[in-house]
Order: sequence, then structure tokens, then C-alpha cells
Amino acid sequence: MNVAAEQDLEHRVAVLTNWGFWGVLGAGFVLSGFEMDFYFLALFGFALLVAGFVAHLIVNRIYAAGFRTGEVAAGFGIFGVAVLAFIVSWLLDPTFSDVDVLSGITGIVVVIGSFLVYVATRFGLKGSFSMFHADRG
Amino acid sequence: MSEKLIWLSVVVALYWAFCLYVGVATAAVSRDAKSFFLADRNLPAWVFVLVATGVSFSGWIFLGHPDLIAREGFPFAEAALGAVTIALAGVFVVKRQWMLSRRYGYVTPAEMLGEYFGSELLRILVVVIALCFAVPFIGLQLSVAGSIVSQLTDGLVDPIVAMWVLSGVVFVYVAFGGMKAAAYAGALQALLLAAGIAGAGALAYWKAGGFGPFVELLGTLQASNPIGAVGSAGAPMSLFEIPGVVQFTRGLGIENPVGGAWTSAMILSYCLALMGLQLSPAFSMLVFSTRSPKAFAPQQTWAAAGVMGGLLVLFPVAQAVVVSTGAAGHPAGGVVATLIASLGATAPWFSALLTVATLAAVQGIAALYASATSTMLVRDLYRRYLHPDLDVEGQRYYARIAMAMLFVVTLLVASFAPEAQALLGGLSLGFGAQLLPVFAALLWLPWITPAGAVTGLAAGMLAVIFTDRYGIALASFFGLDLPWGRWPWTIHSAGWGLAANIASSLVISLISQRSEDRTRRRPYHDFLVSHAGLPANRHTLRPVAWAAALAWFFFAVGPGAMFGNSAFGDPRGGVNTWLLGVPSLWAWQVMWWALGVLFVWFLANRMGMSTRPAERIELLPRSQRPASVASFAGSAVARRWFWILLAAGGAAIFAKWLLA
Repeated sequence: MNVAAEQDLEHRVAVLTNWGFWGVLGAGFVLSGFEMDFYFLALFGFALLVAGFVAHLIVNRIYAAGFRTGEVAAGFGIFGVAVLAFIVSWLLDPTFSDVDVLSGITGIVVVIGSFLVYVATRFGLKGSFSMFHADRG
Repeated sequence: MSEKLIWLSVVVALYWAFCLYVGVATAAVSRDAKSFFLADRNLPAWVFVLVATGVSFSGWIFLGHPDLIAREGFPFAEAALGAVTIALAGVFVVKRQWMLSRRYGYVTPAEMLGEYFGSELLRILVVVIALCFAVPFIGLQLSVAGSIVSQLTDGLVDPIVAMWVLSGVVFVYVAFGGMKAAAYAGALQALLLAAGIAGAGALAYWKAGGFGPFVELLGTLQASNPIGAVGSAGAPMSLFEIPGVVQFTRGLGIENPVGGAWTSAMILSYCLALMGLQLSPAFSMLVFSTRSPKAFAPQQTWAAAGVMGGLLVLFPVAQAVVVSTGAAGHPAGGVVATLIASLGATAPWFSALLTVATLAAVQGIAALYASATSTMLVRDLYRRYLHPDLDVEGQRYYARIAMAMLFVVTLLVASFAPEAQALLGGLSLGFGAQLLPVFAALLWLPWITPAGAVTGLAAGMLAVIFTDRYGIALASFFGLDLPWGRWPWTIHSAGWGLAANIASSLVISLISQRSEDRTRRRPYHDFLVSHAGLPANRHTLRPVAWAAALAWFFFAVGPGAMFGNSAFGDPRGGVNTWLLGVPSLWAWQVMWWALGVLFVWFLANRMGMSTRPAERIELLPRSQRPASVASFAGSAVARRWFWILLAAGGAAIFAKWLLA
């Protein structure tokens, strides 16, 4: 038995299981919130997605691992597509209500806020800034 | 294609992609047969907690429990406390059998029990139980899941085709990765099962207009009483009352109990039957596969008794009532199917989630049972009796073939003989429960002899068969009309089986004590006592544990449950007379569920029945294990008998088919 490979597989399965639960529930409630113009339903969905993110951090901690490149790419990719879909719907969909707009903006703020809180606590304020600051010196 | 179908396709595709990924990924890291059979005995604690909970409840509870409440009325809801008895079965057997598997290197429970008792017959009986559990139990659940898929795709997918496809997916990922794949995929499946029960329950409360209006709906039911108006017993039932401690009737189909079949005796014996879910051979193999016993107490206390018990006490009642009263629209199949159908186009993602939860609940248990049963078929029958020099790689190869055959037989029975499947399905739980005295002997009671255990098991299985529909149909096939029907004296067939089993075990053990047998078994018990015995400073807790056990069983699921009828208000007086605002029996269930969780915690943690052993367990060298008893296993005689029995079985099935 290859212990490292086994450990890596456990970690991958734990991450997939985590998002298979929180992600599906969260995304479902968000979509229902948009469908029914129900702000708090969408907010609940975003809360579930944040819970999934926190659970992912716990899983990483247990397995002493960080985010894989693929995970980061998937996260940013899904977030980018969601934001794009939100903007396109806002601009082009006549049935897109004020509640939908508020729900979408809240979601974007919540997701970005969670990400910033994570990098700030993980790397410190200065370290987080340095991650995005191009060193020209 | 409707929005609902698109969501369903996407969510099911994602879910199956996950399962197949797990199969391929586990196959990549596990290249030998040890990995295939027992996941290298290295399943992490969190996986065990989720999978053990998922397979203990599965689609059987998710789909069946609300259906039975709708059919049998509120007294059946008391069976939700089976979540606590399931956890108690785990407390009783899980840690100690894990320790024995580590000490002696056992791969299957048949091997463990056969070697402990030095009995070939017992080994074969355990495999028979595994098969009787697996084939009808998986088949029943797969056929219901197939029907739900067919219904939700508006008939686009045929139910039988859906069932075969569901099984095909399970076969592929388990054939690739074995036990490890079954367990890793089972973790997500268990979470989806819990989400499904909670989701369907929340939907039911929402359909009723919230919890307050739901309770008012219960109050109005007093007058109209549509739910369970005719139970399986065919007699009028009182809605919120258990119809007596026991009724000495001749059994369903011949003499129906007044007020319904779900008396205290039936509830108790059914809850004992549910214990069979954690005593089943497949569950034992999951236990053997676990890395550390630290998972056992949290699984039993919080996941099984706590979370699942809470879900079962609170949600299926709402599902059953809402569907029975028509608040969820026109009934479409079972309760859960009707609820999912009631969503229509309003929340297609939720409909897809509930459907996937159903599939996950069924596929999770199918995967574990297929993996474990095929391993037992190969190791305990094929290798043992026909091919003793089969190497481990050969075992894996034949295990895959056995798994394919198992699925084909299960699906053929489910597709073309649904009545036979229903008859056999009735035996599954009862058979599983028959392992309780055998495990008690192995883990706790050294004075039970091999003859006592084998006779008890055989007597128990016969009693289960002949107090259920299968045995009655079998007797009738041979022209013999039994004077009793199904579940005489309102006692479940598992209860009759256990009574016959325990009585036979005790009597035969009394007259068959042999000192050499006892010497053979002593090392097992010495080891268990030294590594898992109760510490001296906790001996004073023993009477407390016994008193709590008796009190819980008596009041929660035994005769004392009758007090629940009116402890918190008049069951027939309507909402205004209910002291806690809900029917007395329901409040009673909630109270005993909470006390049950406390009781399980006490046994698992305070009494140390599911905590880590005091010392590290080392594998005993083969030379120090008990010598194998002389046996005909692997001989030419065994091979000859195998083919004779196979031919006889085939001839019997052919004759039955001809006569039908």
C-alpha cells in the first residue's frame, strides 16, 4: 500500500464528498431564491456554500494539505461563470427583479468576503496583499 | 426536454461521475486483493461514520418507513426508535468483532464464526444469511428506485431498464475498487440519504403550511381518520394509539388483530429485527475494513441514534400524513415518490436532489452488500470447498465474477419474479437478527457451545421462515395449510426466530458442554476481557447499565410504550387536549428517542463498549491460532456434493417454473 497515494486519495474523496453535499444544496437554494424572488432563500443557499468552504478548510487541515491547482481553478472558474451569468441576466433578462439583483450582489459580496477572510487569516494581512502585489523592485 | 428532466439528467450524471471516479481512483491505489476485499483495513473514521450510518438505514427506511406509517397509522411511527436499537446492536458487537478480526486476521464473519466454533455448518449458514440478506434486500430497493426514476421521467425510462442501469453503475465502480470504492462512494451517498429524508420531510411540512398548521391537520384527522383507516390487518385503527401490548391472534391473513397489527409486541420484535442491519455479514466486513475503533462511538451515538433517529422521529410522520390527506396532490406510487412528483416544475433542482438521494440510498447499500457477499462466496464457499489453493489474485478475479452473478440473479428475480422477491424480502431482516445470539456467544458468552449455536441459528431461521409469508407460501406449495398466518400473536417473524434461536441455543448448550471445545474458545474470551473488559473503577456502572437497558426497552419499544398513548393528553380528544400541542404518542417517541441517544452514549463511551481498546492489537501468528478442525472442506467429497446440490437446486427451480 502506497501511504502517500492513499492519503491523497482520501483527501480528494473528502473534498468531493464535501462539495457533493454542501455545494449541491447551496447551489439549489440559491437558484430557488432567484426563481421564486425570495431573498432569504438565496441567502440561505450562500450560507450553505460558505459552510462548504469552511468544511473544505477543515478537511485540508485534517489532511495537512492545501488547495490543489485544479481546485483553485475550478473555484475561480465556477465563480467567474456565475458572475458572468448574473451580469448577463441583469442586463438582458426583463424578468430579472430587484430581489434577484440584491441576491446576486449579496452572493458576490459573501463569496469574495469569505475568500478575503480566508487569505487574511491564512497568510496574514501583509502576506495576502503581497500575493496580489507585483514586485517591481 | 422539460426543465425537470434536464436537472435530473445533470444531477444524476454528476453523481454517477463521482461514483465512477471513486471506482477508478481506488482501483489505481489498491493493486492487491487485500485492498479489494477489506480496503487494506484502512478506511478512515469519517468514512466509517457516514457509510455505516447510510447502510444501516438506506432506501429501506427512506422509502419504506413513511409508506408504512401511511398504511399502518401512527403506532408504526414508534418504529422510528429502531434507530436507537440499530445503534445498540452496534454497541453490542462492533468493537469486539473488529478486535477479533485484527487479532486473528479474519476477512469474513463466516470465517470468524466458523473458526471460533470449529463448525463448517455455521460457516455455511452465515453465507446463506448473507445471500438471503443481499439478494431480496437489494432487489426490493432497486426495483422501487427504478419505479421512481421511471415515474419522474414521465415514463421516458422503463422501470426495469432504470433498475438494470442503476445496478450496472454500482457493479462497475465496485468491480473496479472493491470495498474501498463501495465505502468511499458510500460516504456521499449517506449524506445524500440524510439530506433526502430531511428534504422530503421539510417539503411535507411546507405543503402542510408549516408545523402549526400540520398539528392542526393532525387534530382534524381525529374526526376523518383517513390515515391508516385500514391497516395491513384489515381492521379499523385508532390513529394515535398503540392497539394493545399483544393480541393473541393467529396471524395476518387468518385472524386480524383488532385496531391494527402494531401492538407493543410487534414494535419490539420489529425493532429487534432492525438490529439485524448492523449484525448482517456485510456490515461486519465494513467493520473489519475500518482503520481505527475511534469511529465506532460517534457513529453509534451521534450519527445513527442522534441524527438519523431525530430525522426519523420528526420527518416521516409529516410525509405520511401530508400524502395520506391529499395535501401533496394525487398519490403517485409511494409517499416519497408522491412528494417528489408534487414539486412538478416549481423546484426542478429539488426534485432532482430528492431523486438522487433515493438512488444514493439504494446504491450505497447495494454496493456494500455486493462487495461483501461476493467476497464471502469466493472465500467461504468456492475457495474453501472447491479450490483450496486459489491465490489471492485469483480470489479477486472470482469475486468479480461472483459479484456479476449476484447482480444478475438479483435483477432477474426483481424483474421477472417480483412476488418471490417480496416473499424473500420479508425474510431478510429476520434472518439478519438471528445472528444476535451467535455474536453474543462469540463476543460475550463462552458457554454457548458449537452445537447450541448451530442448532439455535437453524431453529431461528426456520421459525422466521414459517412465521412469514414465504414459509406459509412454501407450506401451501406442498399442500400443507399452516394453522397460523403471518406474524402470529402480533409478533414479527424476527421475534419468533429469536425466541426459537435463544431457547434452542440455551438448551442444547446445557447438554453439549465439552471441555476441549471450551479450551478452544477460551483464548478468544481471554483476549477480549484483557483488551476490552470494563475497567475496575467502572464496575459500579454495570447495574446502572442493566437498569437503563431494561427501562429503555420496556418504555420505548416494549409494553410500556402503551403509556405513551395517553401520557401527554387524550389521544382521542383533539389538539386542545394534547398537553404538549402534539399527539401524546408522538411526544412520547421524541422523549424516548432523546433518552435513547443518552443511553447509547452511556454504553458506548462511559461503559467503554465502543471506545478504543486499552492496548494496541497485534496480529497473532498463524501458528498460534486455533487449529482448524478436521473437515471435508476442499476434498473430492466436497466438490461432489457441491455439484449435486447445485444440480438439485437448478432442478427444483426448473420444476417450480414448469409447474407455475
